[in-house]
Amino acid sequence: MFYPLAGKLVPWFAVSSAILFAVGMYLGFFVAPTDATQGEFYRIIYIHVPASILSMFLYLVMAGYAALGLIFNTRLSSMMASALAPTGALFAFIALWTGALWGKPMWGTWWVWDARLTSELILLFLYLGFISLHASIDDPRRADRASALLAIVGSVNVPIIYFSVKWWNTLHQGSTIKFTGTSMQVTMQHAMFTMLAACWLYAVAVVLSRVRSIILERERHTKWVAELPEVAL
Amino acid sequence: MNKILWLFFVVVRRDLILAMRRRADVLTTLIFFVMVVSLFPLGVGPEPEMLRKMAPGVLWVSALLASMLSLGRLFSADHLDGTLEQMLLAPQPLSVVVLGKMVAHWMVSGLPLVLMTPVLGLQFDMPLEAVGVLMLSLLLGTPVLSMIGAIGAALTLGLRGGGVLLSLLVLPLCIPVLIFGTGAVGAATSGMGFSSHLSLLGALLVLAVAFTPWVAAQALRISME
Repeated sequence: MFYPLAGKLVPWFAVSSAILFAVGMYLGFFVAPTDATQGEFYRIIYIHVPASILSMFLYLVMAGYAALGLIFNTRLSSMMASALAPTGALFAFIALWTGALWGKPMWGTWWVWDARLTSELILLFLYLGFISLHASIDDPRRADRASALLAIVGSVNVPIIYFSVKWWNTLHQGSTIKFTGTSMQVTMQHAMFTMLAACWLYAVAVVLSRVRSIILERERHTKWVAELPEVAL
Repeated sequence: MNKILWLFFVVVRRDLILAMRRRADVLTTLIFFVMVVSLFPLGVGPEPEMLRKMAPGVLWVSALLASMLSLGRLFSADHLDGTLEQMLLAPQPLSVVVLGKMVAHWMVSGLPLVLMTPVLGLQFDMPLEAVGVLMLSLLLGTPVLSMIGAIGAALTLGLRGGGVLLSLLVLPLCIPVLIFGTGAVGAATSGMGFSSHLSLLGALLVLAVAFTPWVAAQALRISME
């Protein structure tokens, strides 16, 4: 059964994520050298980059689970999809927020209508649409299937949106901001990858514990839930 | 094949007749469009230079909002009187029925906006050539809005607060249409070639015709279970 297995895994993922967060933060803030052009401000990328990578990746994972749930009618996949959505939205929001904090000292503005920023914002909208569609349908089966369809349509649309936004920006004005291809210093890379791994583990831990609550909520009428030690108490 | 075409035309004709019996609904969408467009100069100031620059974006965003407004009606009336259930049960392919409803919806809520555009364009002091390109881009783009919107309308069928939710779901998906639509006009006014934008809009239209009826039909089946 998935429920007890997830329950056993959650602490492991949570603890290792916390350790990696600590290591990554230490590497990022104390070991890694100051950037030549950006000074100390660049250090926000240790949160910003993992968050934005995860926000994009989790959408694909979510759409994949949603598709599985829709095609094979497996209930667990749909529950996973709805458990992934809030975490993905959170990461998209963190990516935008830290990006704005970084943009203020670097570009002198909180927000530019850059292709990357705009598509990240649209990604956040897609997450919010998924969550609110799921929330506003009372019947869980219909909610699962409807939002799965939406997630699939969204994932088909994501590349179209990304390229259209990219062309829109370059057509209007030459792109003012480029991610300079400077090769990163090795410690910076280590710190970044540690933080990325930490964020991954955090996402897994949070999603697994959320899916456990969803299972409990949906299966509350079944016998095995009633027999669980934490419920029987 | 002929039977499918016949089915398509029957559905379009039926929806158009129904729309003509309730002309007020059609007119509200058009009036909404004109009013929103007219509010912009009041909001940002009457300088002709700025208005000319803003016009394509304003008209496109207003068209997008106007099409959202009328989407709720796409399936809800048929849902309420049970016609939709009969359509689902019918042996004919549901996606053709849905395509017919999409086309009828566009003819009622999209086409009038396209025809109204020249007048509004002149209000914004747009050059004639740009108005032509704007009409062309709206002609290619508004059907896509109706088609993507139909998916959202099918998903939110019969939900409380469906209208707002519908916009929340559909608006992000419509962004490419908006970008290419306004981009065509922008390219035309700045003297660049606008055909690439229109080709991309056409490509989106072809993709939408190919896939959205089927997806919307699936969405209807999910909602009607």
